[in-house]
Amino acid sequence: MTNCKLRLPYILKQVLLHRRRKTKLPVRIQDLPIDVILWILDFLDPVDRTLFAYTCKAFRADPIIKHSCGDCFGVKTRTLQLIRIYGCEWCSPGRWAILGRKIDWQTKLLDGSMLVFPEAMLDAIAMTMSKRLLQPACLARSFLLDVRYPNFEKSLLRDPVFIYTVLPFLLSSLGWVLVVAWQKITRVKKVVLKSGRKVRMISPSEDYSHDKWLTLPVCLKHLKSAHRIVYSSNDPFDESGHE
Amino acid sequence: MSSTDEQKIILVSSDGVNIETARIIAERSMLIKNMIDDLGNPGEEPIPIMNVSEAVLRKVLEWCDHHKKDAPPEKDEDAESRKKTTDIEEWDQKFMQVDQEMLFEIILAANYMDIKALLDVGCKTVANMIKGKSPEEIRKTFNIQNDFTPEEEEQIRRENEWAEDR
Repeated sequence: MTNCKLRLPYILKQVLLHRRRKTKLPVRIQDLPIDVILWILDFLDPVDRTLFAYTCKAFRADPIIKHSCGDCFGVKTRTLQLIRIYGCEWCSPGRWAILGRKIDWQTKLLDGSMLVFPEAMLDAIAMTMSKRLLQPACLARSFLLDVRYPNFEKSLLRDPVFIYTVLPFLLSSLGWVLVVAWQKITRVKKVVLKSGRKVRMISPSEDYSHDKWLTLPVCLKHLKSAHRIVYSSNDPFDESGHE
Repeated sequence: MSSTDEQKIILVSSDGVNIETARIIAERSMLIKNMIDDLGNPGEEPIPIMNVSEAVLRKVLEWCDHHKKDAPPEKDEDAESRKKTTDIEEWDQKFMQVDQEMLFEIILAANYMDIKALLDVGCKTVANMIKGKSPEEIRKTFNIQNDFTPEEEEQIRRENEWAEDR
């Protein structure tokens, strides 16, 4: 009896230890804390991370694990699966991802600026790009992509890169030419001073800038002999009442 | 060799086993190092390692013993370059050739005991087991139960098309 009393705590302790050992389940990858899983995911590329996130509901539902590749995958699957957005600015710097959608789809660039795309354009990209990974260059190409021309890359004139680089240059050159022409047309050609019967004409030299020419009335008020000034037909001072 | 290197300390595992080890080895763990610094008089009182069982603790100490002469980790050291490679030293590779349960236990212990280098090795080992596998293969490798309905799985399959033909 005495022996039993002495041994009871020991036996109880052993039973408790045994039960504790028995109930302890083996550690699985799902049991690792989230920071450890993210530590593991740090060593994987976005593709492997994504596939890992799709192994079970717990991982797929976890925004942090899934987001290793982004809100991008949570925004709209239909478009994303088509255009195959590859990684995101957070987990895969240098690549692109659609981060969110307020009015249109938005993509954050490395410098922090946001690019906004209309959905129709994304669908067009999706249709054409279908099986390519979307890289910045591809997206740039896709800007002017017309889905009606499937062989767009074979024709230089239809090559989006060509268009994307040359067209803005041509447009800006054309704009510059138009601005210069407009300035030439609107420049004051001459000022005619009439004093009694005498008529004096002042013509600006070729290099006489429009701005300097505009200051002419200020100078002319010192010409006491001039009581009448007639401007050319394109006179900018028509409404000023100088006469 | 200085007296600090020779100093012995006693660690107590979660299952109540005392393990004696050299201070220099144990101090690879930042947790233990901080405890020793806080407690003072190292070696006098056993240090409890509450979340780590005897088997795992011995394994962790084996790793610490092998790496006791490595340079101490710098804070946030080269985080980007750390992520770039999953190369593991040959000795570490052999060390990590254990069953999955032990591997995860080691990772958990390294995380708890704050041994960054060991955590890195463990995570790299797991990452290498995931690399290049399909979700189904990953499930098989880690014995993850597929809890998706057939419809959900079909949707996932479609979502994954972009990643599958790399």
